[in-house]
Amino acid sequence: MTTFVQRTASRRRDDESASGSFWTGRSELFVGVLVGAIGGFLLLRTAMMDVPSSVSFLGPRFFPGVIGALLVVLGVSLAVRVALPGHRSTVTDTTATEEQTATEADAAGARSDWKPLLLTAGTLVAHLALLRTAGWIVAGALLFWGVSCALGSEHKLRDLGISVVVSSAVQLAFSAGLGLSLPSGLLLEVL
Amino acid sequence: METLSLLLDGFGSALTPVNLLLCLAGVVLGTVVGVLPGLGTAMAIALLVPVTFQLDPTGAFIMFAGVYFGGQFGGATTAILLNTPGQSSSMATAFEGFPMARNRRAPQALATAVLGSFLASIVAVTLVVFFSPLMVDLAVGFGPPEYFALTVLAFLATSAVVAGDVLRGLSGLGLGLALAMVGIDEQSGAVRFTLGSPRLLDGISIIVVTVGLLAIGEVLYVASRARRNPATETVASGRPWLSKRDLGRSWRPWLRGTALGVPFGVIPAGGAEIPTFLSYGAERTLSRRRGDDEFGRGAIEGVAGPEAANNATTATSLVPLLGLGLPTSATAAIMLGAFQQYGMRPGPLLFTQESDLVWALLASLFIGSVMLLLLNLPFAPVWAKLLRIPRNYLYAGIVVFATLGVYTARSSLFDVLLLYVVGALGFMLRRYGFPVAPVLIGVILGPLAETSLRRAMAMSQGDVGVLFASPFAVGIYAILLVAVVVSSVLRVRRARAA
Repeated sequence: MTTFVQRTASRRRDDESASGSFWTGRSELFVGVLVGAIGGFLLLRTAMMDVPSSVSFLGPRFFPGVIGALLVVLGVSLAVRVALPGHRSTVTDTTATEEQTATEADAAGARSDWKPLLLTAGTLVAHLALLRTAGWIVAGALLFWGVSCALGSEHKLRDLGISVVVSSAVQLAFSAGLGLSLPSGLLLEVL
Repeated sequence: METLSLLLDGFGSALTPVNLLLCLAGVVLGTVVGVLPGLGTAMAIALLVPVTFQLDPTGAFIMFAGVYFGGQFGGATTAILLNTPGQSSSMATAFEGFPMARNRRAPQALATAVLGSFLASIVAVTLVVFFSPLMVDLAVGFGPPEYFALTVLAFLATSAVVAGDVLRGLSGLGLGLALAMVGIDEQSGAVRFTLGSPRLLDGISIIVVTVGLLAIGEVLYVASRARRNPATETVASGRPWLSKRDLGRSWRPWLRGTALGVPFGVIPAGGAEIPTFLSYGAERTLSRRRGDDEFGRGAIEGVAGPEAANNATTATSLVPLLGLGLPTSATAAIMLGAFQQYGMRPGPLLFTQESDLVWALLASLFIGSVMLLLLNLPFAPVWAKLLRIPRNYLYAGIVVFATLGVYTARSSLFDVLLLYVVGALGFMLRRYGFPVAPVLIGVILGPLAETSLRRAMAMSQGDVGVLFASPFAVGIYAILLVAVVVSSVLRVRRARAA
């Protein structure tokens, strides 16, 4: 285990020394701010909460209050730790989850590729907008195709065909096989 | 004796054609997600929960258990053949397994991994069968204070003691607890954090949170790393076979690995990583003491031990899950969430009210282990070919499946929106190396923790002393205190050494 951590840690430092502004490698600051903000939100809404008069010891406000305060403290600590000079990311230490593998922990903390990420996110938004209006077959095909393209597909046209087959098969399996209803969309309703 | 007859009844209901088929489907799916890096068993079960809602609960849980076990078997295959552990619990296996594969000893590495996994599973499941009822006897007397102590143990163990970074672990836990509080408060009827939206009155569904964090979050993370996909090249290998000499070298590590793995399933230590690394370390030390320096160049002991430890931990984690309702890993947390979706609460009540389900599930673990042995021993190299599936189809399929599952669970577009929002949160956590297990455990055990605490306080009329009144609760807090102190000391030492 130690060899693994040392190897990735040294690579991290190489990454960061490559460029030098204060913000390099400090985007985690945003996470700290977000965690603190969620804590603040909890505290604010807890203070404003309507509490039924029947409540005795420890009402519905106690737990949210504790968690809110905890998140504010954690958010501030995260932000301060990132902002401190000599900050070194410790991303590679999180091997304690079942999901992470060596290769991914290696890459964690390195810079993101924005284009595929935004394309994927855009696909999700488009799917949400289209699911009720255009129906599952169209929206589902778009979802499959969009994610596949965003992740660097080499055969865009062929994928479009696969996407339609996938979404139609799903529609068939769910409505005919399992008896669950998926939105059919305006097109089919008119027909 | 009573246990045996219950188990036999369990075999009776697990051996029906439908349940056998579901078990097979589970272990095949588990092997697939185990082989493919990035897809964990936790994600697979989270995706299955909404889809299997049409099945009867017994069949669904037999399938989940198959996935859970299959993932551990499959993870070893790619760790050995490609140095690409499909799961973090197979990382230790790759250290010696991949050098073995490069020395043309891949069949032996696969054989020792699969046989070790099988042996450990059978031993550990037998222990589960006999210890779960004991755990239940212990838990029958539990009241709110004891349950509160157990949840605190699970929270702090996964977020502060085991997680690499305390701040990140605790933040994840806090976010999970916050997500669980949205909606109407069960005890007082107060409306919390819905922002006036009537759709949030029922709270955020566990399905939405788990699928969002694990599936959508993972796909977004993969998208942000799209250009860094590892090349996948399958190493050729023959039929797995162990010579007498290899068998002689393997059986002791199998037993030692099992012994190391068994206790780790029962404590909330976040899964099987720690025992696998401990087993690897133990085998290396022992081999040095024997004056044998094959380690680093493909020592079979280094594959046999960690794989046995891995599977033993997976199996025994079912003892606290079924007996107490205490999840000790992310996958176990998802299974607990699934029980809640079916309106069941693991613990003493489960063994009396859903006795048929529990024993069929336990019996199916034996059946599943045998199936995995038959699926993996001859066909391991075939499974490794799964890595040739283009990544983009795989992840596109996951997104479609995730969206579909969440939408059909309640026919709600709003849930899909929530799914994507939680997915974005999951991506952010993943991007900055926040562990996912504490978030899941916070979401799933949060309500139990709050209810237990408030019931305890109501019972005692506000006297905090009630929390420390029973010897069991005091014992748990003592264990927790020791664990926190020991882990802080280790942390400080490591920081000084670095």
